[in-house]
Amino acid sequence: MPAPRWFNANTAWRMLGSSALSLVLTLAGLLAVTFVMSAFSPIDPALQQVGDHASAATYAQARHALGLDAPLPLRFAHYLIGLCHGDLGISTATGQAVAGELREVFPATLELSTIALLISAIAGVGLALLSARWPGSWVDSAIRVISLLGSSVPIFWLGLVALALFYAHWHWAGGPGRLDDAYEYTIDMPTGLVLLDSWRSGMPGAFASAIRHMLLPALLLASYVLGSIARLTRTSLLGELHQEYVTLARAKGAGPGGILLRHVLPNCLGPMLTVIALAYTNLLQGAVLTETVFARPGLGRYLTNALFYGDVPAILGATLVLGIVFILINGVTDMLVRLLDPRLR
Amino acid sequence: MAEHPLLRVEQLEVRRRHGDATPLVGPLSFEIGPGATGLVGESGSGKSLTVRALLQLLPPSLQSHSRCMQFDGHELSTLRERQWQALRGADMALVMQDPRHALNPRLSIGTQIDEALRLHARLPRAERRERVLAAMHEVGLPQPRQLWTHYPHQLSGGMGQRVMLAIALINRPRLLIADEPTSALDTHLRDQVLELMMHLADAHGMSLLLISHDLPLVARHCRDVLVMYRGRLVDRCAAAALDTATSPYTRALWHCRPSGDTHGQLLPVFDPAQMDPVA
Amino acid sequence: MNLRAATLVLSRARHGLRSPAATIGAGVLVLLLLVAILAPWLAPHDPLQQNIALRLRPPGAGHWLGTDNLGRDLLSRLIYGARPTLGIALLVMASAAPVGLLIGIVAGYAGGWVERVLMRFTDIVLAFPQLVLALAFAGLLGAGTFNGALAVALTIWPSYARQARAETLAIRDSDYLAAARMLGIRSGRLLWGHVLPMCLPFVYVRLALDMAATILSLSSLGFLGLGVQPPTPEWGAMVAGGSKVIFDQWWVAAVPGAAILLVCIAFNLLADGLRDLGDPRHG
Repeated sequence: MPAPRWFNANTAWRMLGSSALSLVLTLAGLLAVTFVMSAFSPIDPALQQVGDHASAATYAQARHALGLDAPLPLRFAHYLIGLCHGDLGISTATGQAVAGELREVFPATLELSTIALLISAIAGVGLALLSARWPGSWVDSAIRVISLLGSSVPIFWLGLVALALFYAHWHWAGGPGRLDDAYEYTIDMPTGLVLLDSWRSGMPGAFASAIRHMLLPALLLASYVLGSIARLTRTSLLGELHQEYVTLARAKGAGPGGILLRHVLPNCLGPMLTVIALAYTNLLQGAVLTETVFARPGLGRYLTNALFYGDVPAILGATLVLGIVFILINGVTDMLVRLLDPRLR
Repeated sequence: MAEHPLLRVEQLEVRRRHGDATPLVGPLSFEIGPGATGLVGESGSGKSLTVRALLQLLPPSLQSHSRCMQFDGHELSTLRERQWQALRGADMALVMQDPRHALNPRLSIGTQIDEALRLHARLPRAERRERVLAAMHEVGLPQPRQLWTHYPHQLSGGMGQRVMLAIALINRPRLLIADEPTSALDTHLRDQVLELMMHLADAHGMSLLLISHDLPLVARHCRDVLVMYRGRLVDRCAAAALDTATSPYTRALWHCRPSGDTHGQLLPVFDPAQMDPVA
Repeated sequence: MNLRAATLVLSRARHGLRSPAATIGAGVLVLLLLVAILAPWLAPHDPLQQNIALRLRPPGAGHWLGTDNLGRDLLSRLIYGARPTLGIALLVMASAAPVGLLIGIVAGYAGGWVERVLMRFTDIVLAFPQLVLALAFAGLLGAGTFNGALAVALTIWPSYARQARAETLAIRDSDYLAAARMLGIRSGRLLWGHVLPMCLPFVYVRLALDMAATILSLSSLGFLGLGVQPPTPEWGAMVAGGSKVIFDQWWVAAVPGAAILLVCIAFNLLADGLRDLGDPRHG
């Protein structure tokens, strides 16, 4: 398909360049903050390694081996060089490379939060459209209540309550974990995406089991951001309805539904993308607690485990990965919003 | 056709849905026949509200009411919203003031003209395309094929106004309502666009209602003139008879027009106390 | 607090009664504050008193909300739990918001490289996921009430800085600041007496909104064992305690979580009401 007329490759590249520069700057700041956090943490990895009763010499040796006796700038340089090689250090709790462990758990978190995002974006935008089509109807109140609850409910508690009701009491959904025990230890997980892997395993019932276990956490996470998506999208839609081009569209003979979908919605694309990106980042945060409550292996549970054991490299690694994903989501959204607007070509 | 005018309005009023009961506009009664009719008044006199009431395009906070509103002999005040949608754009079309705001910034020119056609006619895509291109050609847009994929922000004001005219004319409406169609344009473009509009209205046998605050401009182009003041109709007369208008407001407006003859003289002052609404 | 700000607060409070949402929210909060203050007189039992013989009792006479896995009275723990939940959140806001305001106003007023450095730093902290950052801080600082509060406070100030800078920029070149400057009012007094009051309206709404978010963050830390330490009753930690018996004695976790929900709804309602009142379009 040929590029649309407004698409000017030159300006587009310049724009992407400036966005990328700001992205890199933020990323550098992110690295510095995580490094400083670890440097000033009272948790001493050397002491963790050798134990309380080690001699001063053993302790000093361990410090040297970990590079902790070097001056701070040098340590930062080492940290950066390691990062460039994909080295996030060794987990003090498991003795494994943090980068490898993160690679294993991250797909699960991405899967859960993306499914939740799809559910909440479709439902949220749908609700917003309904409320813009029939202003003052029950949909308005529903959006208000859902967004009030969404920003007020402790999600770890909601997860527990949902487990107690829908799993233990009514048996409607799967319990903790990502699969029933029968499958959990027999299915190969090459991609780490449980829906995909259980589908490809070909084991009867495995996929259904994955779906049943995904149901509660995904719906829960989705409901967590649904309100904010619906509310902010609604505000944006209602704002556009006052524009003059809406009057002209009505004068052409377009009906309210058509105006909303064909005229107003495209003009709300930018704000909507921003709102959905914000929801995505919120979902990733919510996933940390949701995975912990539902005992789903993922980045979130990895982080809370690391916190529990005071595993500094693991904490830093997980935080860094989440931070990078955050920056990428925001950066990509920013570029998309600009690229999609013919006025900002 | 000769026995009834194209549009006949009796006792049209626009009020707030909530709040005080005094009408913002009206009650107004007027008729629009063949040819061009001008609706003149200073800003805030209720011209635009009247237009929107004629098309049932008032914002939700306002409502209109009339004893009788007949278009080509059919009563409009009892129409449902769906019937209004079939009427708007097909039989009565609107050209708005500022194409920069009235055209949808996210849709291409071609799509926006095509939509007007698509809403009222079931035609195959290729035929629609031909008609849109013809309409663009008719309003004097150069290279319609290239322009099809352009966006409103890439057009000049004059071209934007031509696009809006193409949207309004593509369904060959019986009545074209133009709400200050040239106020956002440069002076030299004004007459050009207006003349095009007059020419096309004449060629297709359309009636034209031209809303403007510019009395001399209306007098140049229209056959009849309606004058509004503070939501009321204060005068109606033939454009040729403006010189001898009896209403003090019309006389004041008319004698205030810029002219070499009155250069250096004091302009007449209008005294609201003399007003005596017609309708 | 200077006089102008004080009158502003008072008039806002009077207006608040006209918004049902704000009134309900404020009412619930006053009630909860009273419960927290009067905890020793309201609680029927000692919140720390263990009684293994009476563990995990369902709600009933004697223990209206039942007992937890150590036989402690849940109602008493709930009542005492209002103290750390509200108290720490208030402390966090009272320390983080002024810092953010100060940074934002100084950045906006000073401009130049001061602004660039301060705002770049603010943006970096904002780029982090707030809860994850608080978790990481708390994990690295070590578990504990103070560290948990500090971790949350460190993640809250940037949004105040951002908005205060925007407000300051909007009025930096205004005529009335120029007039004040011509009268010889020095920068410090100018910021305190003229710029700060202009920022206050947004601060009320933000404070109320952020109180809910802060309570959620703090209770999440408590739930993960990083905040207030046992045996002190704290609602998040109480949910964690009840999570072990969620399938059999669901109320042990359900009750403190519902309390968190209630407080957060109250703060969000208050914020909604204040926003509607502060918005000139709503009169």
